[in-house]
Amino acid sequence: MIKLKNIQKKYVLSKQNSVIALNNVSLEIQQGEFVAIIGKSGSGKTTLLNTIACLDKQIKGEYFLDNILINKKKQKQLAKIRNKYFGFVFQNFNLLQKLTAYENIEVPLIYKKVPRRNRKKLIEEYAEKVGIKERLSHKPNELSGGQQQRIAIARALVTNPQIIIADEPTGALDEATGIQIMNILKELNKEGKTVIVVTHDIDIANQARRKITVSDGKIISDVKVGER
Amino acid sequence: MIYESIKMVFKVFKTNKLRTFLTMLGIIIGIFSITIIFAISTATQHSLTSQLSFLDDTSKIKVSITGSFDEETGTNIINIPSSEIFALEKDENIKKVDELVTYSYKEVDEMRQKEAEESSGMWWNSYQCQAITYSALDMSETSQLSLIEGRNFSQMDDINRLPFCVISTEIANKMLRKSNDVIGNTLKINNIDFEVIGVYSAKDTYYESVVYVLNSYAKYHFGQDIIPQQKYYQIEPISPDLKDTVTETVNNKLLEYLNSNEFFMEQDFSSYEDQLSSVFGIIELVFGGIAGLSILVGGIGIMNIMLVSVNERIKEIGIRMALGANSGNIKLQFLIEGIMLTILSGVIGMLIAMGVVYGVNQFISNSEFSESGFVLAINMVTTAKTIGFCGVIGIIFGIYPANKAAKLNPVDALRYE
Repeated sequence: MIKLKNIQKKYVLSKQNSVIALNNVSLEIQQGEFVAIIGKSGSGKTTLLNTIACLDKQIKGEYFLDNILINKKKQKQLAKIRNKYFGFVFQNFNLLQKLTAYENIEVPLIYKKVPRRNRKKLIEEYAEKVGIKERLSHKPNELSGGQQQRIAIARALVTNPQIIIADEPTGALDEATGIQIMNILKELNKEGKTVIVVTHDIDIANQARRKITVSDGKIISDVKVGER
Repeated sequence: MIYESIKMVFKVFKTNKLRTFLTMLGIIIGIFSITIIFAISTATQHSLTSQLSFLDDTSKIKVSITGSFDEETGTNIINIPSSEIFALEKDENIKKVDELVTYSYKEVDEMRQKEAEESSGMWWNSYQCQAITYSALDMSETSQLSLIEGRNFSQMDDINRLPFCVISTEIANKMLRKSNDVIGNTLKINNIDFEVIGVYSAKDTYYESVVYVLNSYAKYHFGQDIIPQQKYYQIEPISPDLKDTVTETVNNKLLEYLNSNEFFMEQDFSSYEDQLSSVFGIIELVFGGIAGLSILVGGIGIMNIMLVSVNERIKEIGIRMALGANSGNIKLQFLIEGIMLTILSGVIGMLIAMGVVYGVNQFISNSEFSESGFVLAINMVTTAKTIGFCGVIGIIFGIYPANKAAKLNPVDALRYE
C-alpha cells in the first residue's frame, strides 16, 4: 500500500544552516496495518507523516501509494489523492470553527464532488458511528474535546478512505476520552482500514500492532507486535 | 461547491460584521454616486429636451413651403400642389403626411372700424388662419395648444367638414367686446362664418393671432378664393431610423417643383439634442470619473481586507487542503468572497440611490416644480451594468489575495497558528 524508498527531506534555513528531517528513510506499510510512529519532538516523525499523507511533496526519493508514484504528481492531483485515500485526525481536531459539526463533516464530500442530496445520508451514518449524531447542529466551540475529536473522526471517515492518519489524536484529551478515541481507531482498523498514529505517548503506541521509532530523521526500530 | 462557498462567505461576513461593512462602504458610496449622477443627468437632459421639442416629437419631418413672393399680386405663389405631397404617403418608408396650411385673411372689426374711420381712416385687424388636418390637430397629444374653454375638434367635425374654429384668448377677448359669449359665436373669415368651439391659451405672441379651422372644410370652401400664405407639412416615417432616408425622398420630391429657397426642411431639434447630450456626456464622464475613483479606492480597500482575511484563515486553508481542496477550490472561495463583497456593496448602494430618487420625486411632485417634468429615474440597464461592473472590480481586486491563498503549501498552512 505505502512504499517509501530512500526518502530525504531537508529544511534549508539559510545557506550554511540546514536541518535534515528525514535521512534516507525506507518504509513499507501494508493495507490493514495499525502502525504507531513514535519519537521525540524534532525527531522527524511529523515530517514522515506529512510525507505519507501527501501533504508535502518537496522530498527526495520515491514514494509509491497504491503503486502511484506520488512525488511526481501535480498539486491538483495530490489534493485528489488526499481526498480519496486519507482521513485526517489531528491533535487539536482542526475543525472549522465557523461551521457546524454537520458542515464540518460535509467539507471533504464537497471536494469529492458528492452531490448535495447524497451527502446527508453519509454524514448521518458516520456521525452515528462515532456517537455524535445528536450534536450535528452544534458548532465546535459548543462541544467538548472528545466530541470534537469524534466529529473530526467522522469527517475523516465520511469519504470512506483506506488510510486514517492520526497525529497525536489523544494529545488534547483527558485519559478516559483518549481511551475512547483509541477504541474507535482500533475498531476502524478491525474493519480493514490502515491506521497510522503518530504519538510520543508510549501507552498509545503500545496499542498498535506495529511500532516504528524515529530519531534524528532515521527509523531506529520497527517492531511488529503479535496479535493480542 | 459555489453554493457552499457563498454560504461560507456569509459566515465570514457575519463574524466580521463591522469590518465587512466598513470595507463595503467605499463601493457603496461609489455606486450610489454614479447612480444618482446618471439619474440627475438623464432627468435634466430629458426635461430640457422635452422643453426644446415642444413642437412635436422629433420622429416627424417638418417641411415649410413659403413659395415665391409675387410682387404683382402681393401674395405667395406655391408651385407644388398638396396632392403631390400627399402622394408621398405611397412611399413605403412613409407612414403619414399631415398638412397645415396658413391662410392670411383680414377680418373687419366693425365697431373698431367705425371708431377708426371717424378718427383717421381704415382700421384693419389682421389674423392668420391656420387650417389643419384633423389628426395634426390632436392638440392634447402634441400639447401644442392648451385648451382653456370649449372643446377641441373631433373626428366627426373633420368627416362632416364643419365650419368650426378654435381661437386664442386674445382673439376671444376682442370678440367679447361684441358679445358676452365666445363659444357658439361666429367669426367671419373670408366671408365665411366659423363657429367658435374652443379657446386656447397661446404659448407665445405668434399664436395669439392664429385661428384654427379644419383643413377639410377650408380646402373645400375656400377653394381658389384664398391663397395660402404658407404650407406646413409633418411627414412621419414608418420608423425613426428611416428619418434620413425619408428626408432625402421628400427633399427630392420638393426640388422637382420648387427652388431650394422656396421651402425649408426644419432640422427640428435633434441637432440641439445631439449637442445637449454631448454636453451631458462630458458632465457624466467627469462626475462618473470621480465616482469611479471612489470605486477604485473601495476596491483597494477590499483587496486590503481580503489579504487580512487570507492571513487570518491560513489554518483553515490548510485544513481544507488536507481534506482534499486543491488550489483552484481555495482560489474560488476567495474570489467569491471578493465578488460578493463588491456586488453586495453595489446592490446596497443602488438601493440607497433608489430610495433617494423616490424621495426626491415625491418631493418634486408635491412642490411647485411639479410641472417642470423633472423626474429622476434609474435605468435598469445601467443598474445591471453597474452591478456587473462591481463584480469585475471584485474579481480584479480579489484575484491577488485569492492567488496568495491558493499558493500556500498545505503542510505550512496546516501547521500555522
